Amino acid sequence: MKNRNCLLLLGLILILVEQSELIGQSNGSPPAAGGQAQATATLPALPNGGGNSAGVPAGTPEPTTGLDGVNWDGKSFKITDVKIIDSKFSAYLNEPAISYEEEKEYAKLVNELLERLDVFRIRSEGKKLLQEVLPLLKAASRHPRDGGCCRQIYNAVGVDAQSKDSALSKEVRIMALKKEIETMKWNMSLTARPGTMEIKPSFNSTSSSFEYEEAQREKRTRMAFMQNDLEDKYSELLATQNSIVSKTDDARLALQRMIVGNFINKRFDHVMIATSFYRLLYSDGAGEVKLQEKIIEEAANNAKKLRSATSFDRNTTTSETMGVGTSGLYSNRTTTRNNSDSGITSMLPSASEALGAVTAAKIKVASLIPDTMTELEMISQEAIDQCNRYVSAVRGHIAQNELENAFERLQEAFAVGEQLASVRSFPREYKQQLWKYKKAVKEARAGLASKDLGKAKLAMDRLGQMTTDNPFSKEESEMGNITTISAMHLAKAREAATRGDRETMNKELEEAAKIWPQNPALAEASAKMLDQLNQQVQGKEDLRKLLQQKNYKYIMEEKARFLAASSDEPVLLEQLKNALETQGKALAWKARIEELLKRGDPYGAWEEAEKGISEHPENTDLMKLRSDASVKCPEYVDKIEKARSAESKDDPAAALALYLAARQIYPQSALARDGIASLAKKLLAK
Amino acid sequence: MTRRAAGKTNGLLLGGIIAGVAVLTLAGVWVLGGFSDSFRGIDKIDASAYAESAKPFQGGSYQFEGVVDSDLGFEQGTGRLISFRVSSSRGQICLPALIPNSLKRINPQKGQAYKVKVVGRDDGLLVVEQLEKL
Repeated sequence: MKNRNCLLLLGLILILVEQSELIGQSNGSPPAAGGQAQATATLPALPNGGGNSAGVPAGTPEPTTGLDGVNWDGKSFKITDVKIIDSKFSAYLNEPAISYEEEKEYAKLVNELLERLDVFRIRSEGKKLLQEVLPLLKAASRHPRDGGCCRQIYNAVGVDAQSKDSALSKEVRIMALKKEIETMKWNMSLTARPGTMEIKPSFNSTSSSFEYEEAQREKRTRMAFMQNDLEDKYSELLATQNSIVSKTDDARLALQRMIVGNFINKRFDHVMIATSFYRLLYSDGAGEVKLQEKIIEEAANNAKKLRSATSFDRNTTTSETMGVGTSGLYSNRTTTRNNSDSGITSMLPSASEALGAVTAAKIKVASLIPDTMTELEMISQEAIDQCNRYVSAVRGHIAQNELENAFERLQEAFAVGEQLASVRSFPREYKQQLWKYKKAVKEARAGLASKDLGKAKLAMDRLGQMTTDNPFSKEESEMGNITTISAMHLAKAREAATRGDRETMNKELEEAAKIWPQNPALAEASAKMLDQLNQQVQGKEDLRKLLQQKNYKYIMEEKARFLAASSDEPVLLEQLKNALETQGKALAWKARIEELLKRGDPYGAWEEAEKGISEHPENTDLMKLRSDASVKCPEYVDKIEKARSAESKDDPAAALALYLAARQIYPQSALARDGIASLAKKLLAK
Repeated sequence: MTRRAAGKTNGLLLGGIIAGVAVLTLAGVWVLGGFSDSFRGIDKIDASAYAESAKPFQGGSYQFEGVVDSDLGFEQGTGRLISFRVSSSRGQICLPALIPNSLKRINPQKGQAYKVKVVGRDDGLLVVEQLEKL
């Protein structure tokens, strides 16, 4: 039973939510005659899937306890997930302070009414109780807080009284009609009886036979007229009897409709009041809600609208019998009329479709309405109690600084009982506190949704200061995971960049961006990596060019860059190492030469430069040093060069003489020594 | 046509003159090395020119005076290669000269001055023919 009640309440809320989604056609069904001030002309449709974006739920929902949530079609659905409820709740949190005195006053009137409409007082005092409660109802209907709800009940009571007054007058008419019918029947029976003065036929006289026939014909005509009049009276009697029933039923249905309307609109206080009045006015106070049948009937009528038949059967069969019975002549005439349509088609398809949708909606609503007034009352009372309990719980949570729980409970209480006094009179300061809390939660959620973890973290820290029941504990740990995983991908991307693996680097950067797009390290890291990668590519190009040019000096100067650039290419790295080694040796030569020059030994410096250049012919520094040295020992250089020239011209003797001369200038000359030795050997060998 | 009266005096005079010339000639020959000097008539070598190019000196005989500078090597079947420091227009120049095995009894030492007669080999190297210590 509890589960059913929960479902009903949930359905109510969802009905209201989806009211705006109803296919916008009025149901067109006129309110019952006399029941003018009653419930909404259009009953809202049952929504398809609550707040779920998944669509139409299938199967039976499995409600959990209370309004905490419903599992529907395998998905968990909370009442507060519905956006319209959320936006209404936001408006509620921000609405200006109400007058608590007004609320208190109105609540007092309502309680007074319910107190006086006690079921046992109704039983004992009956309709006399109306005299006591109607002034209270009137006062409540005039209260600014009422919003027309008590006025509706007041009017419904009035309509019921009117229908009963009308029934009385019709009863009088019925009595009169019955009398008339009796009179007519008596007259007919007299007319049918053979009279003493009636002309009798004579077998001998043809004129008397003719007169007899004439008299009989006249009698039959009179009977026929009397028959017609009798039938008319019967019809009137039947119609008058039916209208009494119809008017009473209409008033009752109108009150039921109003109660159901209040129920659907969550005005549970007024449901309680109205059901109490219903119990007072009608003997089946706890009886069946006939509104469902009415709705379905209306729905069926709607479905017929704008449709026409393609074939009709309007046969009328009349049979008449006349005869002589024990009481005399009688005449019976029976008329049978057939009036059937078949082959229904739609005259205006779109309008018919709209009406069809309304019909379907009404049938769905009808399925939600409880079967009895008692059930309506019970569900309403339960809703009121639950709402009050929730509001008390909210106060308790706020006192303990548990704003998340307080927010949820208040939202649930609002979803069910937004019209109830306990919800309406909830203190504004608390509402504002929860509103601020809600904004912070929204900010945190927005940050999480957009994966801006920095923003989300700030919002969560603010929430942590506001409340003790942090709703984002799970998200916070997830954020930790996200930052870790993103950092891992970034590290992998960096490593790929150092290796020059652009493809892997891009892939890892993409993964890092997917997980945490707003990562502040991401943009910086990717720029650096790309830069590094570009530098690496450029570095390799530069290195290759320099190796080709044998510009080992520049390679040495930029060795750090080139080592980094070529680290992933073993062949290039080997070439670089060789170049650096070569340049190292050249530098050693250079150092020695400079030392010799510093010591004032240009001959030795020149010789060293010569040797160095023979090993490092591309080294411009050595060339320069050689040039510097040669300036300081021109004769010696001249002799050596001439000696080399003579050697090349195959003039060993002259070369030998020149080497000897060079040695004379620079006795330590290794070049001269070597030249002399080789030439001497050559000359001696001949 | 000669004059008799002056014939005896002229004859003595002539004889004296002839004798004088002969003496002078002989003296001159002696001064110049005498009838036994093998260096006579040998050109002095231009050391600077040799250092420029030795090939023009192929086949020619030259002489020079120089001081032994260094021993450049020895080859059993060929001889010893010595360098002599020789004065030239461009200062002291070292001339390499080969002392063949035929002159093996000559063993010049560093710092010793010699008068050397050389002949240019086909590769321009000077081969010593005669050495006279100074």
